[in-house]
Amino acid sequence: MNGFYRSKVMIALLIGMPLIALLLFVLTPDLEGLPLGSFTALMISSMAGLLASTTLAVSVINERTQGVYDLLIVRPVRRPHILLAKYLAVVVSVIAAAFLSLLVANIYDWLNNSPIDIGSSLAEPMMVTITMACVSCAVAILVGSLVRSVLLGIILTLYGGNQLSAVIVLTSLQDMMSTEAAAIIGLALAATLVVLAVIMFNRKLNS
Amino acid sequence: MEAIIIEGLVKSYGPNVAVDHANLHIDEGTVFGLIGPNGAGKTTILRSLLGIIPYDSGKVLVSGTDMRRANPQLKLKIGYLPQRAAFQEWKTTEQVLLSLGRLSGLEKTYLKERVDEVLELLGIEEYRSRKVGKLSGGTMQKLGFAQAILHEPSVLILDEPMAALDPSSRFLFKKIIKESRALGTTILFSSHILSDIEDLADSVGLLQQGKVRYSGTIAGLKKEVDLRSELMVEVVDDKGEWASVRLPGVDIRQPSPGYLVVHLSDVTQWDVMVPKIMEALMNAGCHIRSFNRREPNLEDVYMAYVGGSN
Ligand SMILES: Nc1ncnc2c1ncn2[C@@H]1O[C@H](COP(=O)(O)OP(=O)(O)OP(=O)(O)O)[C@@H](O)[C@H]1O
Ligand SMILES: [Mg+2]
Repeated sequence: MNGFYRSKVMIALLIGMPLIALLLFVLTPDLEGLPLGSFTALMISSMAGLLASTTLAVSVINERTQGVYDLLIVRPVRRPHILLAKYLAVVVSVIAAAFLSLLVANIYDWLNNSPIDIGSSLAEPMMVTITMACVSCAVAILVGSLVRSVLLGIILTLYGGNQLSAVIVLTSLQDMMSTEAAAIIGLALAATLVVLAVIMFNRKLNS
Repeated sequence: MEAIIIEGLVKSYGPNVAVDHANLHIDEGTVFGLIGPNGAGKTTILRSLLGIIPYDSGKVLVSGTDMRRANPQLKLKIGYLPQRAAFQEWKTTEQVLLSLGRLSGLEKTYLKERVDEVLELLGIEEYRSRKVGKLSGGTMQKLGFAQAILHEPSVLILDEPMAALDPSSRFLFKKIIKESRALGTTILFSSHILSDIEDLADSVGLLQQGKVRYSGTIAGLKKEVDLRSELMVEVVDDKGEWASVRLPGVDIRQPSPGYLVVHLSDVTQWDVMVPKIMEALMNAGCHIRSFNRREPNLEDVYMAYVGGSN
């Protein structure tokens, strides 16, 4: 769906994140008991989420205030699609980047330690990553639809988006609830935020 | 038939009324020019028309439909050039046209041909692979025009199309507008370049503080303001000899040294009076360097209507 909204930043993310993961593992082989997979998931998804969600918020703010969307609105494009296409493009890219880096991390792990089942050690971190990406990007489009100032947008996205997604993910890491439960709560929250963002986006474009 | 109908349009931003009960009717296949001071509400009218912004009350129809609720096919009839066109900055000129053309429903191979065509038409092929963030203001304006005509719409809405253009590009834009009109396109545009309006428009709307002060032909506007044509005379070594000239129904004034402006009380008498005035001036001892009769242009009319201050 409207994949052409994708930007260069995302491509950089796709290649950059696995590289960073690799570097991390070369530099810090001893992680004091924390499962390697979870560590990478947190590391990568918070970094990727940080970059991607702020970029997303800034681009929505800029394009909205500059009037880029006017030229889409006068064509047969539904307004919600403009925002949803951007959201999906970024979320998918972040997830893809995280998946690649997790794969790299696990292969490294597998080569250095006793052979483990890559499939199962990927599942849980991926769930964490997907949840975090969905939540922080949802906050990003909501902020992007509400705010006119880029600086304020960045601050709100950083603090709102990433803290919110981190809190949800941390509850599962601290064994307060299962990863599945945390993911469901997170995704529900993300869906609510996306709906809210679409409503606000429509309203703000209308002024 | 009327391509665009605006009746009783009201749009306010908070307490500030941007458009106040505006009425405009634009016939199919004609060119309509919207003029008026900065902040008069030209852009607001165009954006309401396109369904980009909602309005408070009134009726706004393009080809008989309200664009806020238009079905997708009807939107394809319209091409729009915003006052300040903006695009996703990381795209190249060509990518912008390809993606907007696709959204306008153009089929892939035809779209490719059409993009080449408009890039050439506007003379911006050399910027084909340049990022739009790196284009000059005028080139950006040309890209804006390119996307407006890409899908060959039957109604063109252009918000100050000739602003930011160099003289030859302005000429090119005017040529394209005239050619589109010849093909039956209805064109509504706003401009501050009154000579362009006079050159292009079949009718004009004069807007002031959100109200339509006049709507109709330029000739009608001139009649309404009642500006008379005048005779400009340039004299050498002006020592005020002209002051002694007395002719019935002739009013001579000197707006600045070396120049005389002559008005007639009966404007049908120019052919008879010009030789008499010349003769009288020469007999009085004026050395005439040049003279010519000037009809009031749209700029004179505009200034008389709107006043110099606003
Ligand atoms: N988004 C907005 N929010 C608040 N007020 C606005 C907005 N857009 C326009 N206005 C106000 O509405 C009025 C009409 O503005 P508009 O842009 O239609 O003028 P214009 O005739 O196009 O002027 P110009 O010749 O400078 O382009 C102005 O007083 C302007 O300040
Ligand atoms: Mg304007």
